[in-house]
Amino acid sequence: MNNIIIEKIKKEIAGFSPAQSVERIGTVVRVGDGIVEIDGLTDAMMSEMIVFDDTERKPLAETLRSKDAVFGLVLNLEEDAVKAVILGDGARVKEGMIAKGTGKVLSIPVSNDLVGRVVNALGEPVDGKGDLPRETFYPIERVAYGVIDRAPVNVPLHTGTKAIDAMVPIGRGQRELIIGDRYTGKTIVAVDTILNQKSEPKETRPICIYVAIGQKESKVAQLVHELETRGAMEWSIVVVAGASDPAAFQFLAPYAGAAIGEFFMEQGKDALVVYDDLSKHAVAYRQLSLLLRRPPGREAYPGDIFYLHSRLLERAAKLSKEKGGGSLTALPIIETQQGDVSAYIPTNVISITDGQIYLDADTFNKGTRPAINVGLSVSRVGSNAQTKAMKKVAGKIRLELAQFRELEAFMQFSQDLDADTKSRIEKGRRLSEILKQYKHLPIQFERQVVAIYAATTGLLDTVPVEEIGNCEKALLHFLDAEYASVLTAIREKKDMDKDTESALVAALARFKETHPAFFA
Amino acid sequence: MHQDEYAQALIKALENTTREEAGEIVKRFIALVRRAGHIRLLPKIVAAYERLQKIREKRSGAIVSIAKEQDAQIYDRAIKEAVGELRVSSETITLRTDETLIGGYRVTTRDKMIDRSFKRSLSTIYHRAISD
Repeated sequence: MNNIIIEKIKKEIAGFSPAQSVERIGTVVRVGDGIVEIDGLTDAMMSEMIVFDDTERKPLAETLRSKDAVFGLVLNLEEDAVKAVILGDGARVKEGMIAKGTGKVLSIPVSNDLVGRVVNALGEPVDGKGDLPRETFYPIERVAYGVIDRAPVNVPLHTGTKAIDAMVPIGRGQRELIIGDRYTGKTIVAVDTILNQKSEPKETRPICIYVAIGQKESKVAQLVHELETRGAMEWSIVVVAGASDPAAFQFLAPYAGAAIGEFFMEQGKDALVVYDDLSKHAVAYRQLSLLLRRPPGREAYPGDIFYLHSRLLERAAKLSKEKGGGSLTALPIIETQQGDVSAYIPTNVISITDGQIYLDADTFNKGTRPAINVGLSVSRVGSNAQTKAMKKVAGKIRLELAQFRELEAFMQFSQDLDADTKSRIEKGRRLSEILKQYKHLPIQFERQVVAIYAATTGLLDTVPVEEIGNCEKALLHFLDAEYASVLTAIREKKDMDKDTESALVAALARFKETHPAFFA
Repeated sequence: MHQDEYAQALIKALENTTREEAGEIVKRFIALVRRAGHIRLLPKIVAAYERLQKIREKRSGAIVSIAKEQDAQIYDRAIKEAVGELRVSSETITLRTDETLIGGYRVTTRDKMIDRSFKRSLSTIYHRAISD
C-alpha cells in the first residue's frame, strides 16, 4: 500500500466520526429474470436508485476487495413489497440480501468529455478509452420544458438528404419520426444526418447522440467505425443498450440519451438525438412490465406504453433566449411490419411527433434510394425550417412529384398520352432521379439548392433519365471549379437573391455549352 | 396467486379478534372458499398463511447483531438508544453474533438499519481514502 494512501487513511481516522444516521433498507425476498421483490423500503420513491449490499457476513478484507456495488431501480410500489429491476450483474443479487435506499432518482454522469465516446445506459464508458468525469449528474427521468420556456422552431437541421431537406424539412427542436419496414434505410437517413453536420460551422454544429436500443452489437460496432472513419465522432456520442443487454438497460437507454442531450441544450448548444429504434424500446418495456406483473393491455403492452414515448419525445425542444436558446432535436425510428403504419406502436409515435419520414419497401426494392414515400411523409414544421434559398427552389417539387405519381400509375393502362401529360411524366422521372442519393454521401444544402434548381427549371429536360446522376455530379464539380462564388453566396446568405440567381443561370448555361454529351 | 390473496385476506380478518371470533371467521372463510369453487386450494392457502405470518412477525421485531457476546453488555446503552430511535419494542429484539462485524453493533428492523459496527466504519474510511 503506498504512502499516499496510508497518509490519507491516517487523516481520515483523525477526522472520523461514525455515521449517526438511520438507513432505509429492505430485504430481497424474490429474485429472478432481472426483477427483485423487496420486503421493507417503506419510503421508497418511484424510480429511486437502490443498492444491493453483498458484503453481509463477509469479512472486512473481502468487503474491501468487493466489486462495484450492484444497483437497482424501483419501478413498482406495492402495498407489501417494492419491486425493482437490477441494473448490473443479476447473479450477484441473492435472496435475503439487504437492499438500501439511496434517496436519489436514477441519474447519469454528464460532461463535455462524453463527446467522442461510447457509453451504456448508465453513462459508463464501454469503448475502453478510460473513465469519464463523474461530477455533474442529470436525472434520467425529467419533466419536459413547459410552453413558456420554448421558442418556435425556425432553424434548419440539414440532413444532407435532398429529398428530406427539400420536401420534409426538419428544424432544430423538432421531433421527426423515421418509419418503415426492416432494411429500408431508416438508420442510414439518421447516420447521414450525423455525417452531414461536418459542413456546419463548429459554433452552430449540433452535438449528435445516437442511441442504439436492442441492436446487434456488430451493427453498432460498424456504425461507430463509420463515424470514426468519417471524423464524425468529433461531435457524436453513442449510447448502447444492445440486444444482449438486460431489458432494463434497453428501457433506460433512450432516457439516458435525452439526459445527455439536455445537458448540451442547457449550455445554449444544439443537440440531435437519434433513437434507434423505439419499437425495440417498446418491446423491452413490455417485457419489464409483464415481469413486474403490471396488467397487460393491447398486444400485451402495458397501459402506459404511450406515456413511455410521449414523455421521452417531449423532452426535445427549442428553448427560448431566456433559457439559453439551445435545442434538442429528436429523430425517433420505428420499424413497421409489412408496411403497416396503422399498428399500435407506430400510430402512437406518429401522433406524438411533428411529422414522419416514411420509407417504403417497394420503392427501396425498385432501386429508388432513399426510398421516401413523399405522399405519406410530412413535416409539420414545414418551410419554417428551410433556408430561403431552399424554399424558393423546393416549393413546387412536392406537388410535381405527387402529380407524377398519379400519372405514372395511369401510364400503365394507356399508351396514347397527350404531349402535356408526357412532358409531366418525363419531368417527374427526372425529379425522382435527381432526388436519389447514395448512402453515407450527404450533400451540403447549397449544392442541394443548385441541383434541385437545375431540375425544376428545365435544364435536365433533355438529359436521359439514366444519366441524371452523372450529370448532377458533373454539374457540381463544374461549379466547384469555375463558379464556386455562387455556392459560397448561397451558403453564406442562405438565400438566392436576384444577383445570385442570375449568376447561377449563367453558370448552368455555361455548363450546358461545355458538356454537350449529357444533353441529347 | 389465489392462495396468497386468500391468506392475506384471512390474516387481515383475524387481526385483533378474540379466540371465539376467530373460530367463527375461519368457518365463514372455509364456506367462502367452497362457494368460490377453490376448496382444493385450502392446503396451499394454509401454507401461504404460515409463510405470510412468519414475515409479519419478522417485520415487527428487530435484530441486533454484535461481533462477540460480551459486546452486548459493552454497548448495552447505545443499543437501547438505537432501538428506541427505531421505535421497536425491546420484547421483540433478537440477538445475533456476527464475527465479521469485528466490533460495535448493528440494529436492523424490516425497513431501517443503524450500523455502528467497526467493519462499516473501517470500510467507509478506506473507500473515502482511495476515492480521490
